[in-house]
Amino acid sequence: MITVWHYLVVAAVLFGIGLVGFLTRRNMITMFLCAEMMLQGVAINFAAFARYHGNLHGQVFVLFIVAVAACEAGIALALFLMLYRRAKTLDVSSWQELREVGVPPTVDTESLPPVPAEPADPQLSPAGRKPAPTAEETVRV
Amino acid sequence: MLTPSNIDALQTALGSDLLLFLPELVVAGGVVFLLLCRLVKALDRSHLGGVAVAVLGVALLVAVVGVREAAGSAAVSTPYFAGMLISDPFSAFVRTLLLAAALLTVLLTLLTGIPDRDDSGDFYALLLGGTLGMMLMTAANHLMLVFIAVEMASLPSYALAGFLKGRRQGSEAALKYVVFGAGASGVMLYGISLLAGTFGTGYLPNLASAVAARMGAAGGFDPLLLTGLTLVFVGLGFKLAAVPFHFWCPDVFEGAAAEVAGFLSVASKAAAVALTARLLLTLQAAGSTMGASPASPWLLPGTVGLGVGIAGAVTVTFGNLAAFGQTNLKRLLAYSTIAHAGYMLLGVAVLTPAAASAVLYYLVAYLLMNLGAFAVVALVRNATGAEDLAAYRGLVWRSPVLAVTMALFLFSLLGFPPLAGFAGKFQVFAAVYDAGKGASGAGRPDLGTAFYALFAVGAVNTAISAYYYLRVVRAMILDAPGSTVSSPKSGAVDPVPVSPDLGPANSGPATPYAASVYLTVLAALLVAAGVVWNPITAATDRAAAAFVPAVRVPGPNAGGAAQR
Amino acid sequence: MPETDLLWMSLLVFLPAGFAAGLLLFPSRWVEAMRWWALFGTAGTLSVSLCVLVGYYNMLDRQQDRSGRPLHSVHTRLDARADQAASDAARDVPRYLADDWVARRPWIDRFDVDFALGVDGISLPLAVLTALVTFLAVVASWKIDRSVRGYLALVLLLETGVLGAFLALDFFLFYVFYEVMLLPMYVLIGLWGGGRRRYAALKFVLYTLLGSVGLLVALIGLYSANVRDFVDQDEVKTKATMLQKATPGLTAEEALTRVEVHTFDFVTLSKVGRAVMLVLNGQADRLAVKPKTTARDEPTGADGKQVQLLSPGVDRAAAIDRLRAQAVCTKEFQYLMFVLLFAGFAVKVPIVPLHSWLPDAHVEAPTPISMILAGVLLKLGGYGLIRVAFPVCPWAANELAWWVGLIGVIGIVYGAFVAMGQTDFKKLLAYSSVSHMGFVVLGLAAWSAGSGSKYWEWGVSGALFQMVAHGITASALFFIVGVVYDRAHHRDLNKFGGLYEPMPLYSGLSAVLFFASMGLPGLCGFFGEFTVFMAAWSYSPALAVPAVLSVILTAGYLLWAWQRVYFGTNPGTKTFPDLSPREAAVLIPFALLAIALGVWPNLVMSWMEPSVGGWVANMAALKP
Repeated sequence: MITVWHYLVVAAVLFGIGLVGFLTRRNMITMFLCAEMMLQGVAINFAAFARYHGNLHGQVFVLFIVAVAACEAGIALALFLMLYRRAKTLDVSSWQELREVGVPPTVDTESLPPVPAEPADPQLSPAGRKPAPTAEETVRV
Repeated sequence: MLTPSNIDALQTALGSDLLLFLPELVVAGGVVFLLLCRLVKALDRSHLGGVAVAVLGVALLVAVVGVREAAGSAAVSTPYFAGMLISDPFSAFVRTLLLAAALLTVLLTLLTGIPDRDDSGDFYALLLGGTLGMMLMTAANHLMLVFIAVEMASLPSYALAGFLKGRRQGSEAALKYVVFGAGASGVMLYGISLLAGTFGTGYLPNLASAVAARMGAAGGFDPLLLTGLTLVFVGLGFKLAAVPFHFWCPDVFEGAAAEVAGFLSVASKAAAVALTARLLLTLQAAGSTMGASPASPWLLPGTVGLGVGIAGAVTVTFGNLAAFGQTNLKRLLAYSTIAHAGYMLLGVAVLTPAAASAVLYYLVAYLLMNLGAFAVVALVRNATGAEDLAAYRGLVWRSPVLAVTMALFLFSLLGFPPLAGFAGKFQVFAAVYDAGKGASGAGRPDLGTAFYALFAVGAVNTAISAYYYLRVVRAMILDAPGSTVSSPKSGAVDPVPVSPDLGPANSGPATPYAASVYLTVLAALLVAAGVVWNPITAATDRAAAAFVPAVRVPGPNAGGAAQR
Repeated sequence: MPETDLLWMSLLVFLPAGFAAGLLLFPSRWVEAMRWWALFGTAGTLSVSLCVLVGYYNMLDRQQDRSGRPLHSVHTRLDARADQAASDAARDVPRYLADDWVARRPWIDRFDVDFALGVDGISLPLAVLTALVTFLAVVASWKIDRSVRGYLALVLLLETGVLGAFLALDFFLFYVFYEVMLLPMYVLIGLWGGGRRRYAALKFVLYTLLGSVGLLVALIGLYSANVRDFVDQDEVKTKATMLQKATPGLTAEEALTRVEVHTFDFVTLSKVGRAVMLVLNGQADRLAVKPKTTARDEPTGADGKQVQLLSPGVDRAAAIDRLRAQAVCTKEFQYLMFVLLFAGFAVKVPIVPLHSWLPDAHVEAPTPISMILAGVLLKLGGYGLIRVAFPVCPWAANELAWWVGLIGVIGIVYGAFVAMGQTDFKKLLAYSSVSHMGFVVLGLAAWSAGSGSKYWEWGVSGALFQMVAHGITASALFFIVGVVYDRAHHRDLNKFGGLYEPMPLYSGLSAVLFFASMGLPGLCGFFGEFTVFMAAWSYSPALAVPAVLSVILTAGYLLWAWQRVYFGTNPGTKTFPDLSPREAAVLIPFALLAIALGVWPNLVMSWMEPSVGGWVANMAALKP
């Protein structure tokens, strides 16, 4: 028998994961996703309670949460984009200009793991021209 | 549930509800208009500050007339929009205050010219949007509206904090604000889900009586309930910048423009204080009408109230101590606002209507003095391009009006009579002391002692805070202009006269005439509110009477409200 | 018909502030005109204060006491007048007497704060002294030429603060004025002072602010006392009807029992304090209801047993029960309040462990500000002890009287010893101020009752007289330092000498004031010290002996300083010009007053003593 408590536990776990991730991650996008995950935990809570009480209040709440979260994401992502353009990184620790007088910036000895180099996207040659043979092809031929 | 009869009730009530909502509607209309202005070429190219002033002026007028009417109808609490919002003297008072703060901020931006012509439409749209959210915060009567209003107030603030495009610091401020804000709203929402879920309702009066019954039964300690309440107050504590959720405040205030920082420190904090007070006092009113056990009126102050009070005491102490070593004036003022949020929390914590009235008075004073202080910071920045303490050296020789009004604002923040800051502080302290006396007299000597301790912490902090406020005053008035280190002249009684025309830091232009008038009016209001208490206390008392647990007059659509 | 006494007293308080505001209208180049304007303002204030004095004297003179002595009537005492004024104001149609020199108008309804001003023989001498010293200080400020406008405006504002504090009858109003004068002083020391002026100014403000936080706590604590049995019962009835209107479903009787009255009024708070003392000493049976007197006759039952504190028409037993149930009627509360009030005012007096701001402030302040500081501001501390600390918490004051006296004696002896070791002229005078103000504390503390109450009365009037005398001599001596500093540009006692030769007039006047400060008979310093010694001796010889012996020390350091400055020959000082007419105009009034008060103390005592007598009679009656 799955009671409301089971849902609540799932929600709490989701919320907790989100909170921990929010507090520990340094990538802006990840942090923000973790914050969203907290909201999803809350949404499960509401849905479970709505089911438990047999009314739709919780569902209405969830709808509003989704809407508000979208707004928040809109603002936050726009800001992150701007910050990325400026600093060329998503690492929040590169933004430490504002801090207490006499307190050195926090330097993490363990830097972010290197981003694996993405394979180059396949390129199509412009239409109407014979594609130049790639390196692999020439070898094969 | 929406049955046809409910829909009918909603429809019939819509007219009167919209009337109650008129100031908010005006502001919302202003936001829409400002956004649409982008489409019209002629408007897009002009500075839209005048529009914002007009919108806020009209809204303020409507709100003030509304307050008059509410005063005439003897403090009626009317829930409207199916109980989502409530119109009572309390919300009306704070709403007026918020509109006044927004209006003063807009006037200040017109003086300092911080949004240039191209950005003015966006800037004022955000400002008005934030104000709208804050107004909803003061009127929220349902947990869902609490959440939505807090977000509505926060989102524009994030953008406002980073509005200065060219500055790295502004972006960083916005980043910190957004990240902390997102986390805090998640935590708060979790608390709301626990509370609303446990009791099956988000409608505050219903929730309050359910909570009161539960607390009375559990003897004041119910883990789920306390967790929910605590998490909600974490979210509000973030808005208030209460310790330990204050980390964003100094950084954001330092990074944002002084005008924005002033607006955030005053309006956002006023709304958060009002919302905290509303939540707590609604609970308390419900609790004391239950009357289950003799100790029941002190049940909530003894648990939640005490927790808020301790948070307030820590906030006051931390804010004041942290402000000691600051050299950037905006940062110093940020810590000072943290401390002031703490004073207000002390007042909220004792959960008496008298204390709520005192806190409202404090808000009035705080509006004038803090906005004034930030206005001076903005004007000095315009003149010298600097915001650290060194830029204020010998300010009195360069522009006496700025220095003297700033000194008045700071002394008011410090709590010197006969300025309004003292009036607010005195009333809060007196209310806390009274609550301590009441608790001791009602068989809760432990609680009484705790409240006395809060009172003592507040009083001692007043003396502590003198040091850093006086540091600024000293730099402005006592130090010679431009000198980095005050040179001691051995044994001189009458020092060499410093000519006001000399000195390297004298390059800035004189204070604009309009700015002098603006500051003088603020300072005059500050003195007036410190000397003439009666009209303001009458208004705050009326506002706080909304929480006297006597008779709650049911609104026209109370049936619909109860359903919600 | 406005009350004339309200007008006079408000004029006295706010006239300087008005002149300060007027100063802002002057074009900045008219420096000389500003000085004359400020001089005119302070002179006007001085004349208003003298007018108030004449009015007060007339009021005293109209009534005689039972034995036919003029000026001593019970009805002209401050508490009698305040009670009368309160019950007149509580009538259905309020009546305001125009000539009782107590004026009261509601100010802040929420906290029952009144704009209450009043004068009696305790506050009036100090108010006149304030007006006089400020006037002469403005004359002495002619040489200040750095932003004269701000300087004069702040001095005038300071005067308003001090006069307001002396005249206030409401604790809240008193606190407001008490704080108002802090800021002008901060800027005056900090901007126009000497080399370490910023440090001195900050120290001054922080010390005073710590003290005033204590006062603020006491203010709020005292306000919490329910004083309904000590105020006019008509007022209680009015409040009850208001309460009944505010809370629906309350009967008139319930409202009457539930109503609480709180006040900041000194007179009422003092009555509560005295009643609490009786209760705490187990003498609640002596607490009596004041009979409703219609005719203006002597209160009956003054046989030493009954202490009539409760208002007419109060149920005595219920009132005592109500009082017992209150927090104000506990020993801890009384101790706490007294300590807070005492510490708050002790900073200002200053009393020894809290005195260290004074030498710094004096040394750094410009001469006229030193005059005001020594002549006026220090008196505010002593006045606060007389007006607030002792009457409001008499029980704790009585319990701690010996320790208070001891603190006073320590101040006297310590100040004298440290003064002896100084080479800086101003520092020497600053420590001598500490020493002299110790007499004020000692005189107040010599609380002996019964047959000894006569001695205590001497002690208190001696303390007051000492304050006036010290106000004159200390201001004058600081000006004397200023004069010599203007010529020599240093204050080192060891480098002076031989001033007698080039400056005979200056030296002559200084001699008068030095000897007055020393307490030579025939000059103003003697009478106060002597009466304080009498009181202290009868109270506790252990306190009196060191205090008396300290006179030797005082004579020692003052004579030594005198010798080092004026005697001998010194080529460096040969060319000093004698007093300019302006400087002489400052010093001569001081010297004349010092002589006049020494030869004829009754000049002040005649109208000061009745008030002190009433004050002591109220307090001494509490001790069986």
